[in-house]
Amino acid sequence: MVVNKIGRKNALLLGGVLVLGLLPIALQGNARILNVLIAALMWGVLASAWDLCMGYARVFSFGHLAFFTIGAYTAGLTARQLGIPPLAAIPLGGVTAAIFGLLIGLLCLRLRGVYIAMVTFGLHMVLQTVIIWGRDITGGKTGVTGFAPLQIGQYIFSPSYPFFSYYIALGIFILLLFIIYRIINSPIGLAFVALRDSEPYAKSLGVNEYKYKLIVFGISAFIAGLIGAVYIHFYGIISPVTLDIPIFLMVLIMFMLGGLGRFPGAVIGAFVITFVTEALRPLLLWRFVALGAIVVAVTVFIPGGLMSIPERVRPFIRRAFGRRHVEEEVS
Amino acid sequence: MKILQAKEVTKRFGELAAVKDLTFEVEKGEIFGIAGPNGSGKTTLFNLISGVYSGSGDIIFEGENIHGLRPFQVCHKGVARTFQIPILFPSITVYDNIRVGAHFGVLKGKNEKERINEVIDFVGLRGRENIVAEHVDLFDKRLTMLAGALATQPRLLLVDEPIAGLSPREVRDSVALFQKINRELGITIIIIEHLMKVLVEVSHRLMIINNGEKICIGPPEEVTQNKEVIEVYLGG
Ligand SMILES: Nc1ncnc2c1ncn2[C@@H]1O[C@H](COP(=O)(O)OP(=O)(O)OP(=O)(O)O)[C@@H](O)[C@H]1O
Ligand SMILES: [Mg+2]
Repeated sequence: MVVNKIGRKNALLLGGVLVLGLLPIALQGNARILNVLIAALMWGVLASAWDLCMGYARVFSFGHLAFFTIGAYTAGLTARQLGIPPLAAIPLGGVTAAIFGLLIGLLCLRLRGVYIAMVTFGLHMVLQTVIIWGRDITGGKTGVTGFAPLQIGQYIFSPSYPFFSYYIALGIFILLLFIIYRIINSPIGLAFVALRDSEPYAKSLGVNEYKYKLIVFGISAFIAGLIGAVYIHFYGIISPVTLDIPIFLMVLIMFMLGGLGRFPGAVIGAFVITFVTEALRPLLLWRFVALGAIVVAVTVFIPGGLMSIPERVRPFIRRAFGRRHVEEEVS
Repeated sequence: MKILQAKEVTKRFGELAAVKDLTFEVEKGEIFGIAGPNGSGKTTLFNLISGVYSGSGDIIFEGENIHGLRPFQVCHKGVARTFQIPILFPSITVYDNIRVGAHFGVLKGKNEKERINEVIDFVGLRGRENIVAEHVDLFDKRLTMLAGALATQPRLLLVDEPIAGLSPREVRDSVALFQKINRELGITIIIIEHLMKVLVEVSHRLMIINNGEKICIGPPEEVTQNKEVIEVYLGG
C-alpha cells in the first residue's frame, strides 16, 4: 500500500512535468503568457529552496532572497568584468551563495527560531547597503547590464525568445526540483524532519544537529544562488530591486500558500502568486495589499496551504461515499 | 564488570543542585532501577548521562569518560534513552521514526530495512508501522520511542518512567518487554519508575535518590526495608 501511494505521487509529479512541457504548444507560443510562466518557474525554484530550509528543516531563514541576489551579482559581475561565459557564471553564482549560506549557518549554529531570522535578515540588509554604496563595482541602485547572454546559436535566453527560453527555464527547473525532491526523500531530508519535529529526540537517536543545519543552509543557498544567476541572465540586468520588501514577501507568500514543507506546494504557490501579481499589475502598489490579504486568508483558513486541501476534503468524501476510502486513513 | 560509573556527578541550575555528588555503578547486564520523589533529580541524571546537560564529575561508560559529549555522540558510543513525556516525530510514520534511529544511531549501519523490521517485530508494533506517529495511542508512542532507541543498537538503555498512564495490561506487557530486552538482547537497562511494585519486580538492584542525593542502593528487598527510604516515601 505504501509503494502504491508513492507510485501515485510520482505519477502526479510526472503528469505535472508533462503539462509544463506541453504548455507552450497549447499556448501557441503566446509570448506574454510564456514570459510570465518563465518567471513562475524561476520563482518556483527559489520558493522550493527556501521551503526546504523553512518548511522541512524549520530553520527560520529570512536570508534566501539575499542568497538569490548574491548568486545573481556573482554571475553578472564575473560575466561582465572577467568575461566568464554564462554556463560557468551561473554555477559560480550558486557556489558563492552556498559559501555565504555556510557562513551564515555557522553563525546560526547555536541559535534558533527568531534569532536565526534576525541574523539572516541582517545579511539581507547588509547586502542591500553594500550594493547601493559599492556603486563603482555593483552599479548601485540602477544596477548593471551588458553581460554576455545565455545563448545557443541564434537563440538567446531572454524575454525576446519566449519559446526557446521557456524550455531552457523548464530544463533548469526540472533539474533543480529533482535535486530538492531527492534530498527530501533521502536520509538528509529525514534528518531535517526529525530535527524539526523534535530536536531532543532526534539528537538522542544520533542526529548531529549542527551538521544538518549547515547542510540545509548550504544546499538551499546554492539552489537559491543558482536560480538568481539564471534570473539575471534572463532579464539581462542585475539590480538591488530583488531585495525589495514586496518581492521578499511575495516569495514568502508563495510557499506559505502552497503549504510549508509540502513539496511541490511551493511551486504551485509560485505559479498562483506570479499570475495573480501579473493580473493585478494595473493596481500598481495596491496589488501588494491584495497579496497581504491572501496571506492572512491562507494562514487563517487553510494553515496547511493548498497542498493540505486533499487531506482536508478526504474525510468529507469518505463520509459521502461510505467506507471505500478507509484504507487510505491507515497508510 | 561495570558498564557505567558515575563519580561525584553534580548539576546545578542556579542555586539549586538538581543532582548532588552522586556516585554509583551499574553492572553490565543488569536492570538497575532508580526511584525518588518528584523533582529529586532522576531525569536530570539521565540528561547528564545522555549529554543533554553537562555538569561536574565523571560519567564513565565502558571505561571511557562520556561526560560532556553531545547527545548524538553519546548515542554513537552505545547509550540510548527514552523520554519521560513521550516525544516522537509526529509528522512521519512509526516506521520512519524508527528509521531515524536505525540510520543515524548506527555508524556504518548495513541492512537498515532488516534491522528496522526486526525491531518492529521485537517490540510488537507490527501492523501499525505505517501509521503517522501523531495518530498512535500512548502505549504505541512509548513502544515507538523504545523501538527507535533499540534501533541504534545500544549496550545501555535509559528509560524514564515508561509506564506512567498505561493500563494494567499494558504495564504487564511493558515489564515483560524490558525483561526480554535485557535477557535476549543482553542490553543493560537503567529504569526510572515511581511505581515501587513494578520497580521491585523488574530491577536487579535499586537506587533511591532524594534532593539530588543518593539515599541508598542495593537489592530491592533491602532497599524497601531501609528506614530512610520509608521516611522519604511516606514523608514526601
Ligand atoms: N532545565 C532546568 N532548569 C532549571 N531547573 C531544572 C531544569 N531541569 C530540572 N530542573 C529542576 O531540577 C530538579 C530535578 O528535576 P528532575 O526533572 O530531574 O526531577 P525528577 O526526579 O525527574 O522528577 P519527576 O519525578 O517529577 O520526573 C527540579 O527541582 C527541577 O525543577
Ligand atoms: Mg523526571
